[in-house]
Amino acid sequence: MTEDDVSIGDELVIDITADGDVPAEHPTKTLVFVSTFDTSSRVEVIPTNGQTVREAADVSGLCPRDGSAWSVYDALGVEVDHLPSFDMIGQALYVGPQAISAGGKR
Amino acid sequence: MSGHVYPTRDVVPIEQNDQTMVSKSLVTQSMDFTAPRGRLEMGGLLIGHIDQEGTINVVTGFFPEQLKETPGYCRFSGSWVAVAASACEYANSFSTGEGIPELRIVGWIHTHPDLGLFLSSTDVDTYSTLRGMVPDSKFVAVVIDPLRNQDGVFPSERLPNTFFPASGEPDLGEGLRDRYHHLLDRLQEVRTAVGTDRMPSILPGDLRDERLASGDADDSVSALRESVHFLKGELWKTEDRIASLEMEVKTTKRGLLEQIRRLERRVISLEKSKGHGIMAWFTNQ
Repeated sequence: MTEDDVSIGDELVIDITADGDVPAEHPTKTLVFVSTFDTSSRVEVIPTNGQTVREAADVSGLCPRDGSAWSVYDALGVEVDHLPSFDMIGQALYVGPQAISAGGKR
Repeated sequence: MSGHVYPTRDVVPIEQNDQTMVSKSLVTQSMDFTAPRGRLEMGGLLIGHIDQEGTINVVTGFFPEQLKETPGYCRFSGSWVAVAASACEYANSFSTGEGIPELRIVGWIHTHPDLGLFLSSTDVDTYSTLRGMVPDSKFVAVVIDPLRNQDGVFPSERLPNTFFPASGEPDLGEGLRDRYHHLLDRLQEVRTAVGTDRMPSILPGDLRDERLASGDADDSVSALRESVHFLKGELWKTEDRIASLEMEVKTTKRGLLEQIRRLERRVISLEKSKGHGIMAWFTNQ
């Protein structure tokens, strides 16, 4: 729209056929998984139908590969493994160990 | 600086590792906080940064609620790792100047009360798992024995008897210091939200004086003070018990003396009657 298209007193007309800034692609809603031990490592995962947060985290590649138990938590430390991944879109989620054990008994 | 050799176990002393700096203040605060727990073990997380030389700097940390705590074992929820990571992210969003290292979880600390310094098989497994989750493997384990006043930084799970004592003092520039304060602010907020039972101790390390000035509680000193009061109470109870035992001893002694005197009188009486009997026999002959 240019100044020529609008003059004072005229009705404002918007030409919907005019060229404008059109996004190249639609914005995608993702879950953001963060490595608990290096928060600069972040992986976005596009959720799919029927997928749990845990399944989405598995796709992220941030889960331990040595078979040790892990969970997904939100920023307050609440475990969100079994929630539908669609419910957590836009949130930063943390992949970490289920528990940390130690013992002085040999 | 030379490593320590503690006499109770076959340990391998090593020189201070150039790749790791653990704040001595942080370890001292951990000792002070955990010592009053006696033989119950406790575990926590250590937060720090990796400097431009690649050195792991362990600066602060916290002890969360334990899911299990015995004289030979402790366990806490992995959810605290998420809480710590989230607090680090929050802190890293401040003082975004160039060259300021990001804060992150850099280690894990736990106690071996009166057991000495080493990594048990459980410790080795945990250490290996945690290091496996760290992209650059920069992660350390710290073991403290608050009852023997010993501490050890274990640079690798493959060397369960090799450690050096914490002796560092972090060099924090203004931006980095500011980040640590934001981190500690966030941890304090979490504690306010979840309660002291769930997050009993936040360890400010070398930032202790500044944190106290800004109103933070001194968890380590509080724990020590509580333990002193507890010990005082126990001392009084023991004194009362000793006094009661002393009374019992006196009463028993009096009774025994009375019995001895009675027996002596009986012996004398028997001796007399025995003498009379012999005299009577001679008289009759």
